[in-house]
Amino acid sequence: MDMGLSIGFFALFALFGSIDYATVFSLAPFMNETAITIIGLLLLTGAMAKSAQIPLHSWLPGSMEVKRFSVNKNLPTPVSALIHAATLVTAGLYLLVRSSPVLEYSSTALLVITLVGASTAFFAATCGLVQNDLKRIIAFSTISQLGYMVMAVGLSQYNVALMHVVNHAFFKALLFLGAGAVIHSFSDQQDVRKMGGLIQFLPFTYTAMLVGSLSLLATPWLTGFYSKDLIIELAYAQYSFSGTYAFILGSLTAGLTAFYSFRLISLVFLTVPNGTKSAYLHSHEASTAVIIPLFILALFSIFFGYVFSDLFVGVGSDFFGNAIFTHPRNISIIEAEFSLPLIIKLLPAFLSLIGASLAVFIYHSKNGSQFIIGLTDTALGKKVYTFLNGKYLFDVVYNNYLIAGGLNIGYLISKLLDRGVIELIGPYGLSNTLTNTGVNFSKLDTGVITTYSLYITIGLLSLIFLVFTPILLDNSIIIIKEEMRLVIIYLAALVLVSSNSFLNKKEN
Amino acid sequence: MSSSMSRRLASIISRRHFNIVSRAYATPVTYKPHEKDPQLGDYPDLPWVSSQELPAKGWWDQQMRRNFGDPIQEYDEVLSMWGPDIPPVPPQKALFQLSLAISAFVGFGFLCKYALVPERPTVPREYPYSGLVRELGGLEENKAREETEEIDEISLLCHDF
Repeated sequence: MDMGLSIGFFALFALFGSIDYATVFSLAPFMNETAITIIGLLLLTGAMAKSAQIPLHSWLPGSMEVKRFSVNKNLPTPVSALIHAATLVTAGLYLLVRSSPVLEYSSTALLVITLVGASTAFFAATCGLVQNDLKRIIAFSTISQLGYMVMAVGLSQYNVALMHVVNHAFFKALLFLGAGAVIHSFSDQQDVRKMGGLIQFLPFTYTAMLVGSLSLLATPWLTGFYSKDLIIELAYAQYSFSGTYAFILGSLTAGLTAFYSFRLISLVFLTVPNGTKSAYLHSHEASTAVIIPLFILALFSIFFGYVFSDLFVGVGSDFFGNAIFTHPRNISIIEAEFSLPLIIKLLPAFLSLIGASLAVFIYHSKNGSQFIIGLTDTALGKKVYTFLNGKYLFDVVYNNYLIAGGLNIGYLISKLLDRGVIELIGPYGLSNTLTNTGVNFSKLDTGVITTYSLYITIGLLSLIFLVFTPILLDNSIIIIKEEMRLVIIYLAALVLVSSNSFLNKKEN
Repeated sequence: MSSSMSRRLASIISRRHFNIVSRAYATPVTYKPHEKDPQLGDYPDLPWVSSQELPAKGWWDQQMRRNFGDPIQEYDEVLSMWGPDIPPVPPQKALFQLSLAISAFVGFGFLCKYALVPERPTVPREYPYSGLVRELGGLEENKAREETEEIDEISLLCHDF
């Protein structure tokens, strides 16, 4: 999809004659809206691949988990914390936020961005519900939060998207580093079903991950609350189709996020131990070098939003100056702050509370456990579980309908072209032809004098024919130099015809 | 005598051969006679079995599930451990289920569009200077909502008094 981004750049250059930000942004209002829409969508394809949006998301969870058949370990957790929380995946977001002066002039592109973001947020949250790999759960949570950010961009709330990028970096890095500490201390185990009861062994890591999870699910007044909750409110405050779509899916996602976060906390730290005894005996709190970053990130996950929210997303804040452009008709912060009914404002927090409580109840009470086990006893339940656990089966469809097609073309090219046509007219064919010609010519050596005289006669006739054909054809004067083509054709024909194995066949 | 012996020997050999095959490939392989690809030349024509289907343990190369010196299948890119994963559900079923999910998202979108959009409780914001037309580049189509001079009932009432 970087190809899409490249085409976007080419289109920008073709339309504006420059890819300099200042030039593009100052000319954007005067350009054809359809052209801007196409450019916006092309930029979106780049952002979708980088920021793991549907349908280009499958690389992100894949890079986290232990590959099913591999004995090699996956990406180191600090790398996940840096790349998948703070830097790489947010590059797509940065592209979209930075391109705000272009995107603002295409309502279609903004609509598509909102729909993609909201769908991704919900999709990833539903997948995260039933994952069993510790890092993969956090990876799906990352995709879900990226969906929120893209959604905010689509709703023209670039500053809120950017604040969520920053906030998300804090609590997601905290969660990843916490997960790394757990995995390292627990004999490199990543399967949450084989953990449990670790609160007794890793109290600090538990605290850190709890803080990260609470911030992630937008617990009021923690960091995540100031951006995530606002995105959902801003969606409603649009009073439009895309806003409603984003609001409903965003609110549901908030509930699901709370559920899978507390499912993770319950299965890893609370409930009964499900791991091996030796793993528990060897588990230990991480060293100071790990604890210090966890502590700092935990502090930021709690206080950053409270301290900096007015700077980033406050009504009338000019923090971003000219870096971000929001068209006046798309500003909805006033409506979000002052026109929303109380129930709508409280809904995401309420759903989060329900989700979190439900997870704690289900994974701690006997009835809840039986209920969750019983879900997969029915045929439908099993299908739904397989579908969600298999990430909506995107990978199966991609593998069988896209990757397989590509591999087949590869094999076809290899068999028919590389080892077929090119080989026949290339190295193998040439050497074979020359060998055959040699073999066939050697057969002419019969030792019979009359045969030799026949060869001499044929040779003489051929020469005469070669020399006089031009005169017969167009009555011009004979110039052998110009008619070398005939000689070449004659010689080539001699070699090729003689190379043919028809002589051998005759013998056979 | 000798013919019955040889028959018994042949049956034992075939049975032993079967045992070896079943040990090497735990998943039963149905053999379909096919013409050998002439491009293979004298290279062994190996069965179409993905390494992912073989038992996980007991190999010289644990990760790639092959023993030392085992010839590699011609289509190794597809059949090795690094090839595309064997689908956990039949691909057609997966396509159907994914299509259902996508339809659900689209259907929900239509539901939102036609039934769930809340009514705007306020009048959309208006901007002075003809909707900031000059500030936004000077084009009419890019300007914000223009101020409308509506005479509301309250001001009319005030005027009456």
